[in-house]
Amino acid sequence: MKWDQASVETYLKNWEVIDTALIPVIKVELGSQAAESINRAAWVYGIANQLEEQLAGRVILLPAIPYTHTAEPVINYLVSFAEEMSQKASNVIYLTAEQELREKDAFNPIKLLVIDLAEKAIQQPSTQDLFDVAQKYVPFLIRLWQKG
Amino acid sequence: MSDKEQQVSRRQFLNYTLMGVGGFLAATVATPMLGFAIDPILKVGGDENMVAVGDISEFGKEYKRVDFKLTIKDGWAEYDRVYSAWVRVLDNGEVQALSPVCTHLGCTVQWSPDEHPNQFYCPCHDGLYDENGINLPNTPPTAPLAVYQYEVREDGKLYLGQAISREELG
Ligand code: FES
Repeated sequence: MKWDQASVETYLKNWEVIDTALIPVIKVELGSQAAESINRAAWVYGIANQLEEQLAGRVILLPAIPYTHTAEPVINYLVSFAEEMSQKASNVIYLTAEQELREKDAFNPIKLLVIDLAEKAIQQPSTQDLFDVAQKYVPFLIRLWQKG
Repeated sequence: MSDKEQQVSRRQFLNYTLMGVGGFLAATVATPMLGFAIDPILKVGGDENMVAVGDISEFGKEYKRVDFKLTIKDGWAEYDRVYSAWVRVLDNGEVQALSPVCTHLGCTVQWSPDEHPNQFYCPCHDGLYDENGINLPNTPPTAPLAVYQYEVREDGKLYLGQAISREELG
């Protein structure tokens, strides 16, 4: 489900079974690094959208959380944000392309899906690319639900 | 030129100018409306949007998933979207091309004979459909899976178009 006006009615009627919040986490870099930062963001948003489309009945895609430079403060924020969200959504999943978040996350219990973009980040993603990458993450979410 | 003549011509000038501006505005508003009314490619599902998903010989009695890209023209916006279908060919040659979009809340249903023999399964809330895509009682979906328009053309390929609900099919 999308976080928009077109979906809100359906969400309100079914929020108890739409129990998985998906939240992109985007590293924003202004100045000379902006182009790569924007490209990476396009991948993360695109994959998040594809996942939402595949699993619209149980996933609500929330607005992205931006951060810049230091990962530590954002990890702390993500932990407390997930805690609060979990009162209405039993699964809170962050989607990012930033490996540094995974390293900093070692001692924290947040569910972080880190997309390995490697050299992909230099090219604009096509719809097909995004669809293909998203397919790899669908089983992760299904397994999460099966574990209960 | 007398004053009177000059006045008339000024009025005429204003009239022409206003008519021109009004005409331009009317054309600006009317053109897209006309486009919506007559341009068939503004809608998904016209011939232009039937997509070859493979040679018909590639499909058999077992469902196979195909993913295909359609260009959606929505008003002035144009974007690509990937759709999926579960496709099989019955003994009598009839093609079944089902939309995988669950009729409960829109997740993608799966066909995995090992886990759910002869059934489509929706992993979001354990929805079930029989092998023809008819929803099973006591599971969340309330309608059968939609069916894709299809054509097998002379080139031997299977083309899929728009998915239509069974209600609409009648
Ligand atoms: S979305 Fe398929 S059972 Fe709920």
